[in-house]
Amino acid sequence: MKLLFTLTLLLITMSCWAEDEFVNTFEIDAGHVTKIADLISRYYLGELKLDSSSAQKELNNAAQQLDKMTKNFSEDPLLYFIKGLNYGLLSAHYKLSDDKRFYRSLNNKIEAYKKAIQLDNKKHLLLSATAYATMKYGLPEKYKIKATQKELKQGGSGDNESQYWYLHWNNINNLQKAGRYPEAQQALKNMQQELADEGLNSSPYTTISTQAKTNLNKAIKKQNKALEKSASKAAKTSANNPLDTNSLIIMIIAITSFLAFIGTVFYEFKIKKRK
Amino acid sequence: MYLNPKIFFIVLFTFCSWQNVLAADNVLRVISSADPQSRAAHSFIIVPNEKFIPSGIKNNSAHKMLALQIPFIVELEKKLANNINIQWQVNIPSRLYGRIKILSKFSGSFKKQAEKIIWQSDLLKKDIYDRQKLVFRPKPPPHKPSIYKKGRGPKNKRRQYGGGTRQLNDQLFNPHLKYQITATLFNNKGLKEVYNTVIEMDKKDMIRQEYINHYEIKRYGRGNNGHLSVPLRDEISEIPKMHSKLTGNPLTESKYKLLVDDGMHELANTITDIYEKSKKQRKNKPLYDLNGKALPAPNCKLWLSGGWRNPERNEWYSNALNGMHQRGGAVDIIVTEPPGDIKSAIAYWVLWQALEDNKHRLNAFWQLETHGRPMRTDEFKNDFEPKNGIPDAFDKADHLHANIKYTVK
Repeated sequence: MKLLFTLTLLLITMSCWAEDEFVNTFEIDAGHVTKIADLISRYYLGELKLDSSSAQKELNNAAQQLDKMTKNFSEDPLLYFIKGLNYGLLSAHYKLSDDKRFYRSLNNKIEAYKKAIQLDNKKHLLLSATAYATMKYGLPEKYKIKATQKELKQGGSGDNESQYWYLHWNNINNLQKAGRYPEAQQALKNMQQELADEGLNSSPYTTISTQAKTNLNKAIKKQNKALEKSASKAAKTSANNPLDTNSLIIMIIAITSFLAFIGTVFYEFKIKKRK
Repeated sequence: MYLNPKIFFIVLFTFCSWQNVLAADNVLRVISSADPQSRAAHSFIIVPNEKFIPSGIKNNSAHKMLALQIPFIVELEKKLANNINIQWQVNIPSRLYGRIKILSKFSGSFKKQAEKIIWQSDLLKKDIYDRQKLVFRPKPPPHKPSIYKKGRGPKNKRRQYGGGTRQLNDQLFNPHLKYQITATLFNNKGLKEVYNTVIEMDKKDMIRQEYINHYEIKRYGRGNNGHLSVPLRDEISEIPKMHSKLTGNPLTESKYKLLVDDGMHELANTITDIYEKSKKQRKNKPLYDLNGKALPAPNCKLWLSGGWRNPERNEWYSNALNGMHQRGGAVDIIVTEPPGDIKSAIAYWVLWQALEDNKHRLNAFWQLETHGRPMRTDEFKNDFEPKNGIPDAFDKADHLHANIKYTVK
């Protein structure tokens, strides 16, 4: 009897503990999908092995359920996030064994994450900074930038101050790499302003903004140099080519005038002949 | 040389007052704690009666139970004439400190004065038992762990760590409990002598009190109980100097300017040495990516992002209630490249490989983490988030966590 009681208590405790995985990891209440979300989280955290036979069955079951749910609740970014997380794990599982399924899962993950990012567009974001931090890896550039910016908007997800300021650098660097220099410069200004507002102008964190600024200025300088080079190349090319635009226009006028003259002469000749 | 009489008397008066203050310290004997070091500093910790809390937090400490809190005893060590009456007063500077429980047999009363609470005894004549000794216990409100809201708050401002649960002290330490005790002597003519002393939690005991307050509590009402030992006073020390090649924060960002160092300083230094050496070596012997392409050697330094955390600070920053950052045996390190950039990934890979190659030098455990979770084994082999020839573990890493190997949990 005692053993049964202890076992029951243990099971209850375990189930309570298991119910917290998703909310503990991503700081979002998964509501009616808590059970699936917790299971997926346990694989995500490495508590359950991805290379086990049960992994394939459980994750595929979860995928089927989530596919159905996203059809019924097609505007819910949380469902798409969990779906993407699951497909990400499936792709990691199949990577070891099955290329076709691997690429399909990977693609499904990316599409689910893209959808989650698109749908979470109200003033108060639903998905947490940790969710965005999880999604951004491996996404196309535009979505990676959006995810990073939303992670920043949510105040970052790191467990120390440094990671927040490095996240700012992440954002600036992403924009810089995408060639979106005006936005990168604005992002840098925002970072510097935030450092000042929080009274951190004498802190070690200013070295991060200084480094970000140095890198950005280098990139802009490089781009300007490249533009100058290509502009001067274009100017040189047109100088060596005899048939530039002006010459062409003059030629056309000359030919047209000549043809008009021939036409006039021919017309007068015809009239004289009639007479 | 002419001496102005006015100045002379001012100096004489000041000197005598100062002597009186010094005399007060000698006349009032204070027992604030069973710990001799706390007692010498007129400091204390509060140990709840019903709890047995272990002390000695370092790996090699001799662990024993914390002594229970003894009451404060303030004794006037001066023989009083029969015509001298004595009145005791205890000033509690903030209502947030709670009240006190008087254990002496004579009576008194509490009154509020702005933000203060004052307890004052009756005028004690010669026949009052043990009137020259005031015995009392502190009675602060119990600690409740905070459920912090993170992210952004009103006006889109980022919510920041605010210095602890109760912020009782204007320097944002907590709890900073303080009691000002006065013994006033009256004769028949009403003339007074006044003796003052202060019993105040110093920084070391404030740190220790945080560990006591977090013992056997749950974070957000769920999960494991706190079960860390309370540091001994000797285990709390000044912040050591950083390695010259290690940038970033000091070994603690805590406002106490003290820390528990159970090997984290040495660990940080060793990791930095290993990395710097490896950086040089990689110039001639590069790392190759998964496609066989030689990777450029990193040029960046390491950045210390986390060392020792006092429990209140840990309550904000971490999910780990009993984590090693509170034990002074762990460090978090970042590479100084933009996160998510290929240069960052290469630097983490170089760092990781350097540590793996130097396992014999490090009696430590380390792992790469991303947003609070360790990398899974498969992430060290996979290359699709993103696909760039570098294992995903290094692409996604946002810091390296390292800690000394603990033999005692």
